[in-house]
Amino acid sequence: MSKSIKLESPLHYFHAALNRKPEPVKSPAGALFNDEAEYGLVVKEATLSAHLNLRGDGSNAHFCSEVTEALGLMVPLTPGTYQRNGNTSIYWLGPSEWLLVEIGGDAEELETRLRKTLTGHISIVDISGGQTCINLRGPGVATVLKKSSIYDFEAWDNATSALGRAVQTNFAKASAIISNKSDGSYDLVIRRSFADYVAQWLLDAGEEFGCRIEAEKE
Amino acid sequence: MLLIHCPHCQEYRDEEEFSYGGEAHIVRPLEPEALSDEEWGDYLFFRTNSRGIHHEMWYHLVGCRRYFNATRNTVTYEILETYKTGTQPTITGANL
Repeated sequence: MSKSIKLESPLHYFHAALNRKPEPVKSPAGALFNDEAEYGLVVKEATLSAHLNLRGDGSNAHFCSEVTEALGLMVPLTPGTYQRNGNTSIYWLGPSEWLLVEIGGDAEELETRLRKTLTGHISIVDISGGQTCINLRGPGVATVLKKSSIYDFEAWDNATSALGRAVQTNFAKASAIISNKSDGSYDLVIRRSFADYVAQWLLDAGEEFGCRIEAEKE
Repeated sequence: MLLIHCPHCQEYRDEEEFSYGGEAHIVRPLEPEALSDEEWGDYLFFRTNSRGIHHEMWYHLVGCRRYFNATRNTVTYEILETYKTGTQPTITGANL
């Protein structure tokens, strides 16, 4: 990404602009929620990250080891899973297709690194401009997901088996890749053209829990 | 609402994620120019429209974006099995 071009993330205008603070409510214990728990849903966009679509033959051990060599990550071969190492994640999209997301990463540098290492019949496409990654956290997030999506998240409730799950499904009327993180929050990879719609939806769906959109540097 | 098992995602997913792709196992003639107009027309436009067991293609549009085949009973809408493209169904009208 060239530093001379001004890039704006899809949700740049939302950052710190729309905060809905709920009325203070008493918890069952009678105490007021503290500052962190006051919002049931906190939405944070990981702005201008590197998104690469990777195609290759997952049954080829050579391909898998080359990806591991370039990224330090195993290629997830089990459907509906992903691998994470620091800011880099690789999501299973299909039998021969993966999505590579590096939060705050440089797509050009990442692509060059992959092209240097990977050999054979592969495809790498830079789709950074086409989608964005948002993180959802807070006590209301599981309920918001369940009421927004047709996917059955009940299976994810079992924390031991749910870690590292990622699913491509409908979120509201848009498509999204939803994954869970070990800290209890969820990452959503959404299309840029649907980013505004999804953000508006989240503000509405999260209103009952108190929802805010957090700027990246706060 | 149907729950359809995607053989690629290996999960039951909501019908809303899929789109119907028409009859499966239709083989394109190797030498189209050798066919009569009637035979070519049959290949292009005519489908079996079976009552009962039907093998058909489905597309997992929102999920893995892959085609797969399903065996469905067109009377009851029951999906008896789903299997990957390029493989043969285990359930057919003959062995049901």
